[in-house]
Amino acid sequence: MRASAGSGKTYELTSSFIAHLLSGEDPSGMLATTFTRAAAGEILHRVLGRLSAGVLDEGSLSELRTAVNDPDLSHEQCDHVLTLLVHQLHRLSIMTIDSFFSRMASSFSLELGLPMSYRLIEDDEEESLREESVDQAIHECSSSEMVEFLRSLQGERVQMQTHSAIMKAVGYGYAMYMATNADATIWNTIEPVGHQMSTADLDIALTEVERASIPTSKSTGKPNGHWANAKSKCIGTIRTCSWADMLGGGLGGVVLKGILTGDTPTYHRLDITADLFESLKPIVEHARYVLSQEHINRTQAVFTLMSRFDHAYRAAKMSSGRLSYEDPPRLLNEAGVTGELEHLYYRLDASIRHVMLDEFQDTSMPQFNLIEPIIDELLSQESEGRSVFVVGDIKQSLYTWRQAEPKLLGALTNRWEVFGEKSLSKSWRSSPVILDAVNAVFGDLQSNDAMNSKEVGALAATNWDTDYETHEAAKEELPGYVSLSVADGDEEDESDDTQRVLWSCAGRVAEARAQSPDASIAILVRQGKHIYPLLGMLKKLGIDACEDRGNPLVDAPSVAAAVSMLELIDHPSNSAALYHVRSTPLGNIVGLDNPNRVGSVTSDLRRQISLQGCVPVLTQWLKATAHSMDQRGFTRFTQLIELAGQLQDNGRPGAATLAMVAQSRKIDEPGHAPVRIITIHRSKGLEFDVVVMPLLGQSWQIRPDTILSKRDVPLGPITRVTRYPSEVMRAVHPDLKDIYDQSMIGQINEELCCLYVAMTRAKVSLQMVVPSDREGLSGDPVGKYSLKPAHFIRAALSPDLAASPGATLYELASDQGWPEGIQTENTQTNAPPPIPVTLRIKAPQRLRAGQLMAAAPSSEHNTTEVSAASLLCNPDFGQTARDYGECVHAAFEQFDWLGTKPDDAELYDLLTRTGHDPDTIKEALKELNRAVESGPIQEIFDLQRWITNHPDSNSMPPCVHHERPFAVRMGKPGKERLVQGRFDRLVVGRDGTRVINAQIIDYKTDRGARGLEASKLAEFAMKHQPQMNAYRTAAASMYGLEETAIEIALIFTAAPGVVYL
Amino acid sequence: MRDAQQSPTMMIMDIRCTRHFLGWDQPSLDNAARWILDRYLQDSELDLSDLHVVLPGRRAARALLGNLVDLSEKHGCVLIPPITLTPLEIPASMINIVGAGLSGGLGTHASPISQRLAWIEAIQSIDASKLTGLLPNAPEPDDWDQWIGIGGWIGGLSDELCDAGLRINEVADRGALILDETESERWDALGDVQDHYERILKGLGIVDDRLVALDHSFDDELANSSAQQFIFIGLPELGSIARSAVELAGCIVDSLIFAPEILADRFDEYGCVLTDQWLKADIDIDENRILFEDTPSDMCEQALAQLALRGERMGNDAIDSSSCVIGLADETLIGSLRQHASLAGPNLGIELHAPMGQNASSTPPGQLIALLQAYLRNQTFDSLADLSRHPVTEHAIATQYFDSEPDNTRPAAWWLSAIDQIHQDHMLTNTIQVPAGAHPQLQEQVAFVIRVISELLEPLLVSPGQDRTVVEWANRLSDTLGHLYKDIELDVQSQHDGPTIEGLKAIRRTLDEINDADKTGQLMPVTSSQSAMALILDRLGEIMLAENINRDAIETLGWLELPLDPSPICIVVGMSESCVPGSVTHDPLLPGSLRNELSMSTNDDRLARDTFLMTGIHASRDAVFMCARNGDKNDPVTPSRLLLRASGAALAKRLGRFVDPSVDQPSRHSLAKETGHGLCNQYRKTLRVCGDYVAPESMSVTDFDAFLRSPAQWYLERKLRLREIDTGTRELSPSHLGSLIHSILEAFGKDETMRNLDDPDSINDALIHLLDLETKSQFGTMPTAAVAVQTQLLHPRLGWFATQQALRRRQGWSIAHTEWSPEKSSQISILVDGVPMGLSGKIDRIDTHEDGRFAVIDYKTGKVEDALKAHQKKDTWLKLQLPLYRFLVHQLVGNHELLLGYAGLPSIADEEVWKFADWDQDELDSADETARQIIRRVREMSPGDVLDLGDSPPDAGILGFITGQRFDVGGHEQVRESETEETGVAL
Repeated sequence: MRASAGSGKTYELTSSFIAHLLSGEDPSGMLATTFTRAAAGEILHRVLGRLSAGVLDEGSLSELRTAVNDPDLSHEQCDHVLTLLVHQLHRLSIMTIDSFFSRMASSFSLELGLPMSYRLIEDDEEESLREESVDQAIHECSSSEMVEFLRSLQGERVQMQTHSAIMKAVGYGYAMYMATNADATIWNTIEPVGHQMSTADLDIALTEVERASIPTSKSTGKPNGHWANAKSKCIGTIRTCSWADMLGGGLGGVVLKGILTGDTPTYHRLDITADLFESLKPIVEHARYVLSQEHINRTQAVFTLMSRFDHAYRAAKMSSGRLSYEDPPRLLNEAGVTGELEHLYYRLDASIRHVMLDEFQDTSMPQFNLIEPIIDELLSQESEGRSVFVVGDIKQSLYTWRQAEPKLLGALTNRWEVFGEKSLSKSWRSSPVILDAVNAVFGDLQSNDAMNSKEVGALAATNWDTDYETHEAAKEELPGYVSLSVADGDEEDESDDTQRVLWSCAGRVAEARAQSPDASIAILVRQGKHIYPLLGMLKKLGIDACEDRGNPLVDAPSVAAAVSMLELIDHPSNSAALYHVRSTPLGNIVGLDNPNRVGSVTSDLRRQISLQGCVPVLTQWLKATAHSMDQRGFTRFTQLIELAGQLQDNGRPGAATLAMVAQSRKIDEPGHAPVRIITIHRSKGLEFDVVVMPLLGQSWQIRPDTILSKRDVPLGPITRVTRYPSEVMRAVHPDLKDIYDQSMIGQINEELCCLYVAMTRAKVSLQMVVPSDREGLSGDPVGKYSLKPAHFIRAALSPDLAASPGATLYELASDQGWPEGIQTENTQTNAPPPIPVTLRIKAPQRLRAGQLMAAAPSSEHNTTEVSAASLLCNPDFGQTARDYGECVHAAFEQFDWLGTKPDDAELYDLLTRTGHDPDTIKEALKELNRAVESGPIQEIFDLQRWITNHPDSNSMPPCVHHERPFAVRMGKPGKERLVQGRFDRLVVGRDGTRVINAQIIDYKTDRGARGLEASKLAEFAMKHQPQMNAYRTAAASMYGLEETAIEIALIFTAAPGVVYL
Repeated sequence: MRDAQQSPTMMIMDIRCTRHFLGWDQPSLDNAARWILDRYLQDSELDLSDLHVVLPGRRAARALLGNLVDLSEKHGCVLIPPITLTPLEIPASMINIVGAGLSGGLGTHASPISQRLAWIEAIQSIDASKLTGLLPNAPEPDDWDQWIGIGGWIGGLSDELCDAGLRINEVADRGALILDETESERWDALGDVQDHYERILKGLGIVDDRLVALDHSFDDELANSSAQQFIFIGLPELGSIARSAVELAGCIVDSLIFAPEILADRFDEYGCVLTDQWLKADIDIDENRILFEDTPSDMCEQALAQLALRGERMGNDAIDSSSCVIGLADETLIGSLRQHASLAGPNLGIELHAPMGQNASSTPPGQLIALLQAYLRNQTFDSLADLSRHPVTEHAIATQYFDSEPDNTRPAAWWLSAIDQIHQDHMLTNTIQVPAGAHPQLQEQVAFVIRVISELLEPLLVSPGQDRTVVEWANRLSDTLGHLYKDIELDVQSQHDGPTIEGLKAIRRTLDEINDADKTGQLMPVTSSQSAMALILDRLGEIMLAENINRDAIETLGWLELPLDPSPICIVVGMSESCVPGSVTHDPLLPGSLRNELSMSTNDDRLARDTFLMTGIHASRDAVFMCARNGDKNDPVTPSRLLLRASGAALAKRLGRFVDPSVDQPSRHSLAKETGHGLCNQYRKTLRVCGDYVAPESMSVTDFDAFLRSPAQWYLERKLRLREIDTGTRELSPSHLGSLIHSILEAFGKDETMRNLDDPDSINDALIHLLDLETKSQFGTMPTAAVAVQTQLLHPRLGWFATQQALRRRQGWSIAHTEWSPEKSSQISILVDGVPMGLSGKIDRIDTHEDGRFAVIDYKTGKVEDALKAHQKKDTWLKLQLPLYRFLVHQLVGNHELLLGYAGLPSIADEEVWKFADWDQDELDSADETARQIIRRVREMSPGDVLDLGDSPPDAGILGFITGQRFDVGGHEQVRESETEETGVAL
């Protein structure tokens, strides 16, 4: 489906989706992809919304019947399908094409060698990773190679500020490197032309040139002066081997042309002499050879550099576990794992039966290569009810720089004849007058003088016209307005053309704002560099404007101050940041009123951020200074806090990162709808009541830092790659000219697409501004038209008018003024503001035990302070110590009193069943025996002695519990904890059924106790005092006893000895 | 090994489970505790020590225990708590119960580190062809970062299959119907890896708990064990191994089900959810209990607004924090929720409690290890600065500094300035080698920091290629951390120190695990220090540290914890399809179809379970369920199927609300921020002169140019000398380049031999030599790519300059001075209104000609501007530099003819190198008068004066903020003059 702008392609795609659902298709077998998240969301919402509406109201059902071509469709069917659909929501595949490839890649992550936990990289991270990789790539070659690369891209006048040039050049080069699948042969397909001469032969040829005659003047009979000068210059370039200069003009250029065309070369209307032609010919061929070989070498050098960069960049991405959006399709293509569809569907857990591809003109070849087998299979099984729906608009191909291949759309029907074609050219967006202007501009490019000013322009026009269909307005009554005007300014005005055009645009916005304050207004610019000047101009006119979806948060002074503070935290010597913060209310809050405290203040803040991240710190600042902010400053500050939280959640909690992102990421202001200034690329998919377009004077041409390529067939692979060929090189090598011309046609097409997209964003008012044409103030401007947007539009809309400052060249208005069109469109009433509610929270009187913090008795400490180093160094920690301790405990568990203690063999047997190491068990038993043989310990395990020592238990034998669990509340009100633990040995004395006392025994296997005498052991035991106190409290609480009724003994097996606490 | 055919589903058991339906109209665990009390209280003792109570999660177990404690307290009885378990722990617990009867015991359990190392060893040592089939792009053997990930992945896979009652080598057979040959081979290879893994552990005398449990859960020995008593509480699912173990051992089970008995046929014999039954059920819920919001942030704010609304409806001043809970169906929302909560409430700052806590790698000690790793990986000024900014490193450096310089009173962390300065001025992004050309004081300061860091990190800093075993690195890390934390005391009671204490304990535990693994004889990989750190960090990332209970905070809970929470108010956020119910479709090994084939938990099982949970949550409390329409990157979000468990018009209306935000708008609430903004914006200032302003007594020649550009900029940059720090640039700025070229040309002009050369090649050689020297001196031997290219680009420029210099020399001009300033004693000044203003400046170069002429030359780094155009636009002076140089050289030049001009280094040969201005006396007088006017303006300035921004104030960086030129700084509201404050602050 070829769908022009505003003609409802999303509607058609969703209709197709719904039709399949209604025909009984399983949602899991349908794949719908588009290019932006917002568009994917729109498709999803439309599918759900239209089906829901079909259930609920007759009008929507009727509309759906028409859309899916089923006059019998009923509410019940819609209901049924909707119910089935929501049951399968988890298997629904409506997503961006990048998400689909990410899904494919993660399904083959092992084959692709993806890091086990990867995530998509953020823009700023990617930039930094690229920079490091470029450094590495360049360190591996000589910097002169890089200079040569830059020179080949920028010409001789290479800028000294090289970083962005390097990064841009690498960007172009790497995109092509990937598009060619790193195939070096594709970068080496251009053959040199001409013939190389030896130095000796060159000398001889030069002598012959010197001797050769030149035409003479008819009047004087003397050698013609122009020819003499030209010959002399030509000889000079030959002597210095300045081959590009030689062929760039003068005699060398003339002879070159003669060689290529077979015509006799002429210069200053005189034919070249035969001897001069013959003598120059071999030298020209030599020059061609040398230049073409140099060009080929430079193209290969770019490949080599890209190859090095690729190596470094891939490694950096893999080791950091971060991938960029282009990685999944590239890796999938490289791995070649998706060829077998059954296998692919198995991994995806879905058999795709219907594919719906939106914005197909933006598909790149690597992406197409992955989808192609799926399309192929579906179309081959069309009779089995499978289908492929492709929608796109070749006139909106804006992404060739991202390797999008717009020709794919047109080539589909050749590749698969089964495809049926349909066009949509009725716009549901724009007013008739706007569409009239669009038709006037784009309806007949072949007659446009600007297009015809160059051969490639004429070719591009022919291609365009083939696909263009006249646009019609669906809303025939919608008022509208279109103008093409010339920027104001006079000869005294010293600002340049661009400035004047931009100021005029700002003025038009101001007028539009005044006429219709509620209108959505956008200035659509071709290049991002014009955004900030325009923002400044609008600001001076008192108009609220923002870039794209919003400005960086630092557009609010309160946030700017916070960002300066964040900078200062990491860089305390940043005196500008310090001055800034101190000159705002934040300065006093953070304690910078005394400049000598900068070091300590920033140090404290670094500590806080290390502990908790930036969010609490920023919140504290906001709390303290909120009264010093206005509404906007407050809101933007809360957005800064939110941004900090997002970065923290992504594992990037530092102050420096937040400061950087706050200055670069564009964040919309809630409830704020100012004028937007957007690049045309970003405006795709959007619409505005009023669109203002600056049409500047730059020519449409290929950037010299671009790498050019060519495909032999539209759906085939890239077959040729070359770095940008200069004009001389295009003259030298026909192949290079051919590639250049093809690329130039593509470039012109993309520029046309940009203009088309921009004009078709407008709903009711479209205002275009061109620079004045000083040369065209008088006389016929037509002959001066060249391939520039301003000339192109002028040639279409007002071909014969001179562009004098302030003139209106074209104007078309409906009978009703355009502001009425906005009223017609925006019928929706304003929603009431939300009702504010205040959240207040109070602590409960008493927490339920289950809500208390859980704690173990061993977590009790003697003091509140511990040495950090001691936490890192615990001699009794570790598996061996734990094993040993467990063995000793297990051994003690096997008997209540000494009289019932099993013999060693029995104990050994019992302990081996716990899985412990035999040596550890033997060691533990040895220690157990040593312990129970010692007097104080023996006493504890002597039942009679226990009875004797506890006369109040009425001679009743006590109850012994091993590893007795407990759980009690403990602690002061407000600081209570739920303490859980186990008593190693609990001996409970009773008087009848009443518990009257208890003895808690805790076994300690600390090696440090070995051999300590009683007093030292008592001292050593003090570290366990808090834990034992907790035990005492627990036992008392459990049995309702006074704490004095609880006896505690620590048995140190290594000593051996007992300490009573 | 058990028989592969002995599927858990085929076992025929005598079920000894009694189901008890406790309803869902009140908090479930309260009911459960009362049920237990009624059943087990005997003689004032509630002895549950032989009872195994199984609950869905640890939090629920603690809550039940707490309820039992409270009940026991209330009834005055002694509570002996039960053993509490989660379903996953049942098999291991059963085996421990009967472990004594198993031959050879169970063995010591393998620590996570041991398991990870064993998995890596196992996979690395399988047959090469099998490895290729499994990992066609296997990492290099020494790429430990990747192997650690692979080890973790395969361990997770093994665990997941174990929980489903499967060993890896059973998959190929069980999935034979759908697996093709390639897939079967992959599973076979993985089976080999698992077998090898177990052999490795066996050889070490340790076991993988899950695998052991799997093997023994179907063991006859279980059947011979004595029957245990279990209570299942609110378990929507059990798991096949647990089910098998319980059945095989003939356990006696009571299952407490939180649903009305009328729904008994929706639960199986153990009280677990019957998938088929719950899949058929709609959730009958009021529309106002399901809310849709545009973004996750909106949703979080609305969740808090919903709580506030309930507080207002109850007529209470405040909601009791224990009466409400926020459910996190999507746990990643906690950050956004916290931020909104922190801005809510009368005093901004409502807190949230998140039981999941933080992982140990994000605690301050964990962060320190990450910084150490970054520094060990790449020793640059970036990583050095980051490391030295960590509070513990900062403390250690400060301690060393005060030990060595006890009397010094430098500000805290003074070294950061030195590091920044050297980083910024010398572009040292790839090294920490301080170049010889750096300022000596700076060199000394940075050397101190590097020395201290090197000493502290000495155990970890080894030459490249000197790999060691992981255990050796672990011990070295322990030593290093010991040094770093040497003098630091922590308060165990303080919330502030809590994360550090817990982080250090987790590190100790991890290091002990490595040491224990080594002691058991486990093969210790030989790695670089940073790879060992990666392993340790990976482990720390798995250790979750609970957050302390905060009585003032609103509790947040994960989806599965919510049903058993007792709070009467519950707001659930993040009810999107990707979160609840979790669904598995595509997967590199276990796609949905294979999971079905293996009888693993299916998407339907999860949907059924969550339908029951949501129904229960809704039935038992005042609950609201929320979903955002878009993700935080504007990605489309599909609502949870649970929110769409309706049919007919109800479903259609709900979806209508989802796709059209305007439907709900009239009933929306917003969260009031009572401590909101003020009326005016005090952040928006008019730039004014400081209170302590004193007019200068002397100005440099370039001060005049700065003032002409922007008086405000002159004030900030020249008078206050404000400087920004930018360590992010990777190339020489124009001013850096200017300094570099000036240094080269200065050295050239000062060298007696060089400056008299008149041969282009010799001059070129000399200049290139000086460029090399200066570049190495300034930027070391490892400059960034851009700097290397920039210096390379200077070669042809210097070459062309050399040609022109030779020509000039031959024309009779010679260099008399470079970087010349008049003697201080000469006291150059301009008399203005009878008061002299000192004039200073440094002239790049002064040439003299054989005929007595002088030429004052200012160097430019690129194409030479026309001196006239650079200084004047029509009658307006843009710069005064060259005319004012006349004053400086007056005594030197005397009455000789003086030329004023520029020399440059154009990129294109043939372009002019020298350009001299040709001003007549009137024009020069006009320049002098302009200078006098500037002097008057500077003198007239007084504190509080509004500063003129001029035509070119700075529009970037912080100076851009200050001057209000960056973006839209300046605000949208006019501030009344009386409300503005003095912005000038004395520094």
